[in-house]
Amino acid sequence: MNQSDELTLWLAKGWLETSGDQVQALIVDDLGEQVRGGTPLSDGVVALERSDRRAGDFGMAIAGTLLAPVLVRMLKEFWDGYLKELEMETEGALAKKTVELAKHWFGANLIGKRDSVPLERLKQQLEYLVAEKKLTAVEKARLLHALQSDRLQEHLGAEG
Amino acid sequence: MDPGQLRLARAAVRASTVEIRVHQFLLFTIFLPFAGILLPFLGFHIATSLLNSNLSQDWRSWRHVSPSDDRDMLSGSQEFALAGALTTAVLFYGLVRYARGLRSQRMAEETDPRFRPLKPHQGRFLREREALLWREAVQSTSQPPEIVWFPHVAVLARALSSHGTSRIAISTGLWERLEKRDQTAELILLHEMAHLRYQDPERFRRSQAMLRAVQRALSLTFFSFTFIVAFLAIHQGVTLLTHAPLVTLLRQELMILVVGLIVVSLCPITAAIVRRYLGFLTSLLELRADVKAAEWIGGLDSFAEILSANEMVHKSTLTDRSRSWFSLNMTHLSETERIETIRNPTRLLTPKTEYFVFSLVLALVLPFNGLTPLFEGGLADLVVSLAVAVAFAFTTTTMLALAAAAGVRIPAGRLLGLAVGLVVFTAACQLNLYTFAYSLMTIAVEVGLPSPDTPVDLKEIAQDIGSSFRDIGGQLSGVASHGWVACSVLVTFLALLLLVSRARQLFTKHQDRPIRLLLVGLASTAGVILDAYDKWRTSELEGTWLEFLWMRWQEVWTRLPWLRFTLSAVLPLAVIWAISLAKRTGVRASAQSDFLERAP
Repeated sequence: MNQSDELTLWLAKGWLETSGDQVQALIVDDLGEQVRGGTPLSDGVVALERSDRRAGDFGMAIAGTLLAPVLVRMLKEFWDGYLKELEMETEGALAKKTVELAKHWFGANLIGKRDSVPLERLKQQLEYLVAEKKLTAVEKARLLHALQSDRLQEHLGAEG
Repeated sequence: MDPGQLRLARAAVRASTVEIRVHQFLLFTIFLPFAGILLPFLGFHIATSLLNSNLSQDWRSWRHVSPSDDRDMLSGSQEFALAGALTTAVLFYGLVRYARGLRSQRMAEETDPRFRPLKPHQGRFLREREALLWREAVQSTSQPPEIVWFPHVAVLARALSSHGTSRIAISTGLWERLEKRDQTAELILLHEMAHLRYQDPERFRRSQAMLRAVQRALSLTFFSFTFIVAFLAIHQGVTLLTHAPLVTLLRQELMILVVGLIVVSLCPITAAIVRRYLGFLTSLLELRADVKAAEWIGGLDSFAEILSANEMVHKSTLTDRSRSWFSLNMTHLSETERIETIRNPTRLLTPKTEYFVFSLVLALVLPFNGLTPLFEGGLADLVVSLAVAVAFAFTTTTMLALAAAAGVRIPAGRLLGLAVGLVVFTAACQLNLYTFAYSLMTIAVEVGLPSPDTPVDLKEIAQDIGSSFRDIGGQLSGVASHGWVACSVLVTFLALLLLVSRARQLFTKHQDRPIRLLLVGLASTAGVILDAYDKWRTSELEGTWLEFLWMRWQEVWTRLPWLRFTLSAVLPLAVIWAISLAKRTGVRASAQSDFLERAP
């Protein structure tokens, strides 16, 4: 599993569990298992939305909550961008560093630094997703609340 | 729970079951034997005859056999036996594919990696809710089905069962909604429970395996036909290459290819007929699960209300609806159509004509292959269209009787629609589209083997094509009987009206009298067969009691043309009257004997 995939799934799972979206967190957990089994993360996310109606199914197209795939896509973009920026800043040194360090760096940003750049960027992306109607305002509020709560820090610490 | 709604839902379940059984019966007795036995046999028989004749001719010329000795290598009975052996091989291959397909589907379902079991600490509320629904709604004392889950954002569920173990696979989208006590989610769970109650998962597996086996057997037949066409084309090429001009060679090759293409079309058309029929049956099973879930949830209206109030349910477009009408991959009606059907008891308690019409169209296209019309004058084609018409008439009359028994008033408009359907389905059996194939084949032969006196030209080709349209026009005008067919619709409508009214009296107290229902259905079947009898395609039946009956009936409708195509409704009405009469006579006789016994 590559660094950004691992970080994406780690943060998405912790974030969803903190926000009380246990079933969505289960989806992320399952994506993790698939990625570890060799399925590309993007394929796993696409499969979550693929429709395949067969005899014996209820067979009605009823849309459900898109929280997990939307969040995973958003975080994937976030980590890809951040890892690239950090790599440029450290002139390739990050490539040698472990995922543990990236997790530690993100955790440090969560503690006390409420106006940190990564957190601000995540907030902006959530706003954007609401504007794009991929998230509801209620879901955004719940996620924002979780992002700013100490429980996420504790949760990620325990998971990390 | 409204008792009226409950009674309605129960009647709808019974009606759906009757509809399903009739279609299943015809699928197994007519369509599958046609696709798996008759069709390959016809193909192989004609192919062996052609090959035998061509190869024998080659053998004779190679060995310089005297022209007086024109015996072929195989006799007629040997050709028949060879075709039979090849057909048996195809049938055996189909059966093996079916058994293998069924086993692999079972295995795939049992070991599907998508479905994850719930861990002991997961889904406590989900398990409790499912057990409650199983106990209270389904009213089953058995263990509730095991829940497995799969990651998907949409609200999905699937009933699974094998070796006596029932499972329901639910998507995370559905799980989340169940946690929120969403009514739609519970309704979906009940729909899956209904599938388990009726053992539908096994049916779905069987029909999938059957469809694949039929398709494989037909593709084998298709490749055999194609091989024979290719052989004939090459054979003709080799024969003519040395001594005939190139133009003659090309013309004859074109002739073989055109005729071959028409004949080979038989396999895809038959595959389409079976596929659509199975799809239609699947959609009926889905609809029955909906109706059963509606019965458990409190009635048809509640079911429709819950779904239509849910904004996340997809609203069907014209494309979705057209898929229900014409698609060969049909498994479910589109969302809006399902809600509309469930909301409307009249539609539930009468045949789903609009989705069945395409089966009739496909059956009518069948003679276009030019091969089956050669078998006993086209009897096989007639039987296929008759089976579709019989299915429609049988379901119409029995379902109307059930609706009447449940006290559901079928509006006159719907009855008129059904009367039109009965007349159209019956009359359509008399249309024979072979004329198109015949024209095309004639043109191909005229091009391939032109007469030296009258060389083929465009005018003649246009005339040939025009004549087939004229023939169809003639067939249609024969069916229309100078407009009397409109009166036939009226008579059929009146017969249905009376049938509903008499059935209400006859069946109300005895809703579950299957023998009576069967008699009604059989009477309508007899009506369709007698009305749709085609003397051109049933020459083999000359002198039989069926032909005798038809002749007598023809004498009647020639004098009273407004009675033509009405038997499918009139005969069941007569049966209902006869049963009522017998019942009344029986009651009177028993009252009289009681009176006599009590008399001093």
